[in-house]
Amino acid sequence: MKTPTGTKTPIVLQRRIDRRRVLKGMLGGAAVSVGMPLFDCLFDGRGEALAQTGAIPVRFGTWFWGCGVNPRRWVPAADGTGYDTPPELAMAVEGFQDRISVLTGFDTPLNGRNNYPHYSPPMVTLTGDSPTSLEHIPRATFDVEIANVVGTSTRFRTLDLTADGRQAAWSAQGAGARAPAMGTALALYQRVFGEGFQLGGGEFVPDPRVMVRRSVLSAVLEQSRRLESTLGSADRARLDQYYTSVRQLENQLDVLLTEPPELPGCFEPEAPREAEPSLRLDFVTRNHNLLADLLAVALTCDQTRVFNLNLWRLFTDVHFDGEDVGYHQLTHDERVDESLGYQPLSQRFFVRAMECWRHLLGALDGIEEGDGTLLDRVAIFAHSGTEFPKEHGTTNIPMMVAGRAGGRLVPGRHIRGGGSPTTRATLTMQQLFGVPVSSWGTGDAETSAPIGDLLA
Amino acid sequence: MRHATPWVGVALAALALAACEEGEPPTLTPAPPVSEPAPAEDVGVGATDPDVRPALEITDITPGAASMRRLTRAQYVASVQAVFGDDLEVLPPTEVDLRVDGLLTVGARETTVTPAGFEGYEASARQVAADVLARIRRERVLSCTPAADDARDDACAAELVESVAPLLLRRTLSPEEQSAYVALAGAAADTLGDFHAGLGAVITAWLLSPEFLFIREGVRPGAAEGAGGVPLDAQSLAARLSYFLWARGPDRALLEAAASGVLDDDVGYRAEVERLLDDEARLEQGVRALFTDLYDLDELSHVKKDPVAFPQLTSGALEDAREQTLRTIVDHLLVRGADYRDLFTTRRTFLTRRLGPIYDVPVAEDWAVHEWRAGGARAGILSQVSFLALNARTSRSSPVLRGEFLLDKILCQTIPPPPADVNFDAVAPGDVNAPTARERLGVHRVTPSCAGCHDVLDPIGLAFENFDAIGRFRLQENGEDILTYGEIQGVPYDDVRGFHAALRDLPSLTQCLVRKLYMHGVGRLPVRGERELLAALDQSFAEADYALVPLMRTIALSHGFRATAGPAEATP
Repeated sequence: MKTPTGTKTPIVLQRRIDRRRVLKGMLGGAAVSVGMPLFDCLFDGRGEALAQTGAIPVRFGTWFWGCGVNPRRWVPAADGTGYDTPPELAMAVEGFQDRISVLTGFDTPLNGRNNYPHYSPPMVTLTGDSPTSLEHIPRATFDVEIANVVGTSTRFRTLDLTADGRQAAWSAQGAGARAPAMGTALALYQRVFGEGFQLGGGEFVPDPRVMVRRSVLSAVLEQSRRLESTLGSADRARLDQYYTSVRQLENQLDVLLTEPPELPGCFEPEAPREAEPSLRLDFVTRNHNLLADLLAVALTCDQTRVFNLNLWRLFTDVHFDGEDVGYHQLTHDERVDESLGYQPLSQRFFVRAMECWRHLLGALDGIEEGDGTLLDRVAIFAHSGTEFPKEHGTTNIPMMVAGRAGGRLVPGRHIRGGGSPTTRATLTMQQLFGVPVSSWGTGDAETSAPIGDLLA
Repeated sequence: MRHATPWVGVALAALALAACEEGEPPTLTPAPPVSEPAPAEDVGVGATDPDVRPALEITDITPGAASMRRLTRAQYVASVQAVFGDDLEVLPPTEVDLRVDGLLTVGARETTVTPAGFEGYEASARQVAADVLARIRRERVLSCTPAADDARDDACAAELVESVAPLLLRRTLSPEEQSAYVALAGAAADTLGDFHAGLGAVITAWLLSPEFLFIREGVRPGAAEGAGGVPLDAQSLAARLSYFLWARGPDRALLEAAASGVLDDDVGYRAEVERLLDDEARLEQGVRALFTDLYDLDELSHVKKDPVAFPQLTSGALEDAREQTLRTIVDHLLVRGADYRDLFTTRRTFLTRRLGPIYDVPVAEDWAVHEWRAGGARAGILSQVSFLALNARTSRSSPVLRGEFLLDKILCQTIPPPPADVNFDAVAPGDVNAPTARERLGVHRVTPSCAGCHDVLDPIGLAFENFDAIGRFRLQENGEDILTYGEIQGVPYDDVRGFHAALRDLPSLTQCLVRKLYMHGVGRLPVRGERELLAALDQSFAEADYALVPLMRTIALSHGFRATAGPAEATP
């Protein structure tokens, strides 16, 4: 990979990536100072504040894993800080307990609709309403609202990633507008660090080809007006979404036409090798970890401030080599071994899932920023599609919030929801990032009660 | 308007609606023929009415609303290739398609353009523009030579605008619009010092236009809404017709027919329908696109099997499996004009050397005709690797997935979601590790909330248990003999051969294709006001001995295809 001076260094795949040497090399070993309060950072213009004041933005991410938890091995007995860690929870928080809050006892009310197993709960959590089919998206997912606030000045408003090669993300602008996702590390690399990626610090000359791309978009918008008059209101709404998308690309090109700031720690990584997506567990987990590593660099380089990383889908067929039943099917077929208290074969997948989760946290924690690490400057909302997958339940949905969000989160707590909706967590995240919303969700999933114990 | 056909499901009538609760199990239901709530006597796909009027005489129906449809990923690629050549490699869009009622072409009226998706469109458009204008192929789109390669040439650019823009935007452009694009090409050429790069900018602009990315549906100007709705405007009708029959945008002749008013005239429209149906190569592309969508064959590229257990199912073999099914369909329905029902029993197919090991058949020459032996398990498209591998788990067959596919895709029956909060350990201890799928699935039958659906679903899927996760034939699973008996809609069978015979004669088999084909054509679910038309199309299909092309013709000529209730309005 290219360091700021142009030397190539390969991406390091170990659990904790130590890029501190790169950072210290750049800054002569001095720590970057943080002089601005959080919300000044959130709304700064790209480059100026970062370069001139040393302010570091706060980022938001979601992380999803399919097939839930075993609640008997997940829910702590104690509340608050220093919570006890039953075996499965221990796998999730090992090494990071002081920076992970665990949310239990939060439900996903379905507003009288069918439970589409594994799908309805995350839809309620993400959109605030229950879907009417396995394809239906009730409305925009909450991460879009956050990206619309904090992602306007970065090159990418958000990055959607799936480790099992799936091309559809959880994130959606609304019904019929599910975001495409990048399913391999190479795809992520090419989009972020391929054409258009610029390291700051060198001589900057705006690329005339980018100027032409910008003028093409202006022409497209201008010529599109003719279409509007012929449409009904339903199609006009869809055309509005199209306009929004054009403008986001305009913004992306504007970033490329602006001199990039010289960001401490930012470097150009080496391209990962091309890999054919597969549902082999070894591939999915390795792919996830490569995605996490590249994502950490993308965040450091301020290419985006919002991401969604999906380890594997709802009914995942991810499998061990040579075994004839995938994870989801196994959670249904395999009996709980009462002497152990869990399903031993299914458990192997969960162990690997939590290893991936900790790898993501480690990748962020391995990058120094200011007086802490990148992990201190993010909030990651992690969730799954059900509680105990064998039963397709809609209650006690497992959720975690990791990171300190630049000091706005007080992590390391166990917080009980007492049967209140999971939308309380997503409302809290939105308010944390400045989305002007006081009440969120529909019907029984509506809430105006953020989770105060998460916040500083 | 005459009284609509009563949708009396033959054996399906027994599958009445029921709540999804313990003790009152959910059941399968025939898909409603309309997108609005049906009257009490309507239960779905059913028998035809002997008194129904001929389809083309039904003009007093109330059709569905018009709505623009975003090009599916496949339509995007085909639409670009239609203009710039089928040999052009087109980077597929990243945008996600949506299946509604089994069809991407119906989901297309709900999908829109997302920010990340638009970024993908722009990358694809720039690549297309660069490739089209590459030195080795630019003369295929450019009839003139610029005065200089490094400067603007408005006259030469205008020729490209005039010839290509209407094909991509699917309409004629005003002189002002043409001038705007010439100006864009000139400005870009000035900035980059490259005439062809300037042209690349306008090609990119067209490929990013909502008029390209969406198939617009508008009503004929000045037309009053009557008993039969309002007619589509000629350009919208041309696009609907072209995507229905050819799966790509209108050609120059069809655009000219639309612009000149020929399509507004019944005789002129019929002539264009016949012209499109007579173009065998493009019609084949249209039929391939239809069945790729209908049978989820696009999903085959995402199929992942355990490479240790199934080393023979390479990505190349999966490509061949898709092509085998499409060749069988094209040969049966287009080349030989045969009965659609026999698609599920025909012994005639095509094989490749990569498929040979899976079928355990020596293949000397790729795509040679192959006849399965009479009385064997292999017959029809449902015994092909495409269906069997697609509807299976990574390493195991899946009677549930196969049964669900067959009921949903082939017979148009709606399957409710599985019940929540059922712990199989509690209700059916012990048999999930049984050697055969029939025994493993016994858990469904003793769980009331599951049995309602699975009593119908599982036997259908179990008929295919002689085929493993990739479609290899087998007699045993884990050392136990496999039993494949069952019944479908009251018709018993002993094995998959009997199943195919029973399926062939089910009325809902052909009625389902009529419904899906009509939806594919109009890009939406049928509405209540189209019930009689659908019944008439069923009748028409039967009268044509279930041949596909006459059905496509009748749908294209039908009033429902050519009219609309007006623009769709947003629901609050």
